[in-house]
Amino acid sequence: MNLRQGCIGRQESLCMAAIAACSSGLFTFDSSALYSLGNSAYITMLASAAIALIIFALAVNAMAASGHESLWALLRSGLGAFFSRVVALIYVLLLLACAAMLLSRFTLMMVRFVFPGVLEWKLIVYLAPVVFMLAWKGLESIGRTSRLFIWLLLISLLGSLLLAAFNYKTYRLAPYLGDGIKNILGLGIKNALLFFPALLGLLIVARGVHGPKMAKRTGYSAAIAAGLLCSSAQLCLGMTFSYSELSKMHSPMYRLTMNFRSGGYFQRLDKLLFFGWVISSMLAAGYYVYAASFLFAGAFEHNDIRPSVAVFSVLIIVFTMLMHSQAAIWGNIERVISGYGLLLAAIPLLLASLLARLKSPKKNMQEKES
Amino acid sequence: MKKSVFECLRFDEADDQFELLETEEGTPGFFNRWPKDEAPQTKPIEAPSSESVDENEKRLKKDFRSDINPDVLLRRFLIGGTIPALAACLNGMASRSEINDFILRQSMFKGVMQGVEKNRAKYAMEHVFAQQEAELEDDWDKIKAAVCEGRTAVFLEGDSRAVLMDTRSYEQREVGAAQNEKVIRGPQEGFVENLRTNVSLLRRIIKTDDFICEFRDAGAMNNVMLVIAYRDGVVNRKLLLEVKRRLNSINTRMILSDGTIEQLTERSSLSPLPQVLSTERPDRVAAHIMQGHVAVICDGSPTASVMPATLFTLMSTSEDAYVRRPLGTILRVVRYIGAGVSILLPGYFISLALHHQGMLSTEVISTVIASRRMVYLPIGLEMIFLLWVFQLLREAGLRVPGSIGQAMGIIGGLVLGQAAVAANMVSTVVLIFVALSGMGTFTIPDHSTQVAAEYFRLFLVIAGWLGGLLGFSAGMLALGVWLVSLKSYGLPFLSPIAPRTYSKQPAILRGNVTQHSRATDYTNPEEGLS
Repeated sequence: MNLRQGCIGRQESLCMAAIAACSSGLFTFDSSALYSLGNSAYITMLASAAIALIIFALAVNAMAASGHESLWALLRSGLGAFFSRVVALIYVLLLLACAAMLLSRFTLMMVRFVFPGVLEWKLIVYLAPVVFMLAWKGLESIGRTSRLFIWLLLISLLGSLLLAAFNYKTYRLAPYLGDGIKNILGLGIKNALLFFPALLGLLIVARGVHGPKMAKRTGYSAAIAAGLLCSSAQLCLGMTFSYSELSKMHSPMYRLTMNFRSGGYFQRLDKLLFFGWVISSMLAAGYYVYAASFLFAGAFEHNDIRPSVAVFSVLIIVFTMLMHSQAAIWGNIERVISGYGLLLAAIPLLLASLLARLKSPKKNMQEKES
Repeated sequence: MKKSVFECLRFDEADDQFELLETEEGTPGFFNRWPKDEAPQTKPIEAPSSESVDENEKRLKKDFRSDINPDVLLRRFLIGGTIPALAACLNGMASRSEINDFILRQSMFKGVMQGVEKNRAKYAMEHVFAQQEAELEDDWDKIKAAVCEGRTAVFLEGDSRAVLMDTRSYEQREVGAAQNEKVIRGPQEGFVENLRTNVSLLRRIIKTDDFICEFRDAGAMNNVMLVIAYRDGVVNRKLLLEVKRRLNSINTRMILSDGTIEQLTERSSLSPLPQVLSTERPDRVAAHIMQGHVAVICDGSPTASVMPATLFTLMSTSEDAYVRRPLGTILRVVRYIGAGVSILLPGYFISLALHHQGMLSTEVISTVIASRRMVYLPIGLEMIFLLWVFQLLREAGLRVPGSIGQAMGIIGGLVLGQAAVAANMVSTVVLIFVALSGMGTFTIPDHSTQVAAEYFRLFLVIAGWLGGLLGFSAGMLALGVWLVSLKSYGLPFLSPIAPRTYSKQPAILRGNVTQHSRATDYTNPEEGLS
């Protein structure tokens, strides 16, 4: 079982996808958009996870039905050689942007709260090599490291939510459904992009997680787990701060840890918990870089993904640096991505799934038999 | 007299001195890199032994340089008083009494070979020599190797095959207590340098017909033998073939210990962590073989290598299985905490003390400041200096004889520590952290793993020193990635935790003895899981 090379088990793939989805869902959301109309982010997160899950389910079912073992095969079968490469490039950029956004958010949090006054590149020097190492070592290492460190993420996350519990007030959740169901759904669709890249990664490496059927089970579990966790975290945030405060806040999760009861040792735990999150963000970024490299190598017929890993690692450093130095421009780009990114990502995928399913030999055979 | 005075006054090189390297061909490159080894040259195939005893004698004399090598005994005699024969053996390696009583005496009875014209060697082996282990051989290389091992070769006129008989007898160490893996409860025996004795120690524990000990040449120029021990039908065939494949690829000048074999067969040669379990305890090896592992024992080495190995194998001792479950669990938990403290504590402390003072309480931070008031070394350098001093004491204590070594460790530690604090070179707080982490290292049972833990600790200290908790956590993750990517003969090093397997046996806590049937699911034994 374990002497088989190149494949990871269900637990490892689940931890890998769940860590990536949680990290993106908890630390890269846009506060101003999410809390602009009320404090219903905890429902929005559930809706976002559900929407991402539906898109994933359609694609993975199409993969299983058409007998394709990876996203690249599905795209190629559905969209043809040229368009599949264009879509693959879009996904590569999306995954790299997600990795860079994670690193950028954490770098900014560190500059603001942990290492005030330190230049961003000095912090990226510590993060980027580990991300590169993770992607370079491959799927087995990412999956197993995620399995190893999942407890650290859970402890650091649930610990911070529990330690801040004394400050929770339910009245702060008002208005309870924000600006109504319509707005929740709108925000849910927008924020589905937070969970989607982790599931997209699973589609890309489906062969490495024992095929689309196992990827489907893993993806469902990961999306549900991440959705529940992010929703709980948003609920706790909503009970700690009012939505008007949250909409102006840069790093609400870190602010939550600064809000522990004063006078005891727990007051000083914020940084320790924070570095638990940093580890999970590095794991998530490594996973995104690996998935992007894998897809790129598949699309452009490279036998070895390591050159792509090296180039993409440098690229995310550049992206992260640009996000800091050209904050205004990148802020606009980020808004465009969060506004239309899901459409850009989901439509080609769903189209490819549909076409691949129609063209699939399995379906043709069934039709002939009938 | 004149000559010696003259030689004393000479400033150039004396005639009888020479530089060995001058006789070597070629010169090293600019960075002292010699050209890569060429492909191993195949030895010329030797002609088989001759039907003529005279010819065989000449050949043996030439090959063993018997004119300058008096160890080689070549004894001519007549079997049954008629057929010329030659016995060849090495003095000191073969038993004199066995040769005299069961080869020569038996041969000298008149008429024992009467009427035998064909297949003389076979007839003599079956009817004349009273030896338990005998075989016929005409391969000249194998005959010479057998003689070098201490066996006796007898050549008979008119037959090209030699009779090889096991007459090995040489001085060896008695089986005694294992020196480096002592236990309070359980067997005390340890391996010795003799391969046969080691195999018998294992056979005394594993009394099953499926226990196989394959003897084979190790592949070195010094003709060392090794044994591959496993349970047929239990061991994973893929694992066994991989072990054999790697052993077959060995091509080296000499093998003196199983440590050389370990280095020649492992894949991650730069890894500080070992990828096989090296143990001197037969019970430990037997326990692993019973569970489907493979063991390799090398002649002349009092340790066996068990493969594959995981981190949890290296962190366990044989005593864990002999004590009751709660006690075994406590022992293991203490060991893992010790190892964790040893690796993480110094780096974590440096991170907090240097970069995140806000995370320390006022009492702790004021104690650190007070103890470091006159210390002139930066705290990171101070920590690294003390870790180095700790290593120095440890190494010095290991290399000098027993009681002196212990005394050196204690006195050196006390005196140096006191003096260093008095001289304001180090602070008491850092000294305590280094001592604690040093103590933690000693809870790790395997020596190579102890050394690896020291490297990890140094790496995390440097990471924490440079980057605070960011450097520390990045370093910890990098270590984790590297650990999970490490494999021992195809088995992930952190099995059965990452990746998770069906093993019911807990990796850190001591499991129930009734769960041993599913203990090593991760090696995929062929025996069905019960």
